[in-house]
Amino acid sequence: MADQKNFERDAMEFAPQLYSAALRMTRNPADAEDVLQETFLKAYRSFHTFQEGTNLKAWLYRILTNNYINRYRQKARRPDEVDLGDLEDLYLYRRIGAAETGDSSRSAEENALESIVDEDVKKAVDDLPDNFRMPVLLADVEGFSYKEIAEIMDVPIGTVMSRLHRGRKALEKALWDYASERGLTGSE
Amino acid sequence: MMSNDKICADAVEKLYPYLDSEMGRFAQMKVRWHLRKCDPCAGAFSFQEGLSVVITEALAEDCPPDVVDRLRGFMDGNQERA
Repeated sequence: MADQKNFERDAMEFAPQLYSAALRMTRNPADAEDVLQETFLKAYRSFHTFQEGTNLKAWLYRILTNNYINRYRQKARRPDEVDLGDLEDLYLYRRIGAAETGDSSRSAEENALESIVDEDVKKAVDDLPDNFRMPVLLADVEGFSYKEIAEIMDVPIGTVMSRLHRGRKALEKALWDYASERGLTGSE
Repeated sequence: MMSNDKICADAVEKLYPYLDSEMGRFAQMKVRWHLRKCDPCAGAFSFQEGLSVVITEALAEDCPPDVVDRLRGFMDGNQERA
C-alpha cells in the first residue's frame, strides 16, 4: 500500500507525459488539462490502493484512460466499438511497390516515408474508432508493452494485439488514401 | 516492380511482435536470421520500422511548463481541503 503523502513526490514526474497523452486523446488543450487534473485528483484519493513497487506509470495511465473514456468521449461523440473488418498486411508497403514503375529500390520507400505529413498521421489516428485508437496511442506513442496496455485498458492481451494490429493497418490505409487524394502516389 | 509476392507469410505474421519487442529471445533471433537471408522480407520490415518512427514523431506533443505549475496549484488546493 502506498502512502498518500508520497503521492506528489512519486507521481508528479509523469505529469508532462500524461498531459501529452491527454492532449492526443482529447485533441484540445483545455480538455487535456481538465483530464490531467481530474486524473491526478482521482489518483491522489485512491493512492492507498496502489501497490507500491508495481507500475505507477501504467496505474496513472489507467486512471487517465478511464477518465477520458467516461467523460470526454461522450462529449466528443466518438464511436466506440467499431469493427474495422479485415485489412491487408503491409498495406502501404505493397502499394508503394505497386505504384513503383522502376526497379526495386530503397529510395522509393524512403521517398514514401518522407512524404508522409504529420497532419495526415494525426488525422488518420484521430479518425480511428477509440477501441483501436487507444492501443495505437499507448503502444506507438507511450511505448507501453502489450501486457501494460491490457492492464491500462482492462482487456485481455489477445484483444490488445488484435486491436493494435488492426488499428495500425487502418492507419496505413488512411495514409494511403490521403496520399492518393493529393496525387502523390502516381497511381492515377 | 518490387517483389512483394516474395514476402514470406510466416515472417509477416511476426512483424508486429518483432518490431514491438514482444517475442522471446530465440524467436527474435530466428526472425533476425530470416531477415538476413531474405531480401523481400528485409525490405518490408525495414519500411515498417521507418513507418513506426514517422508515426511516433508525428504524434509527439509537448507539455508547456505552466500546465504542470497549474496542476501543482490545483493539487495543493485540493489536498488542503481533503
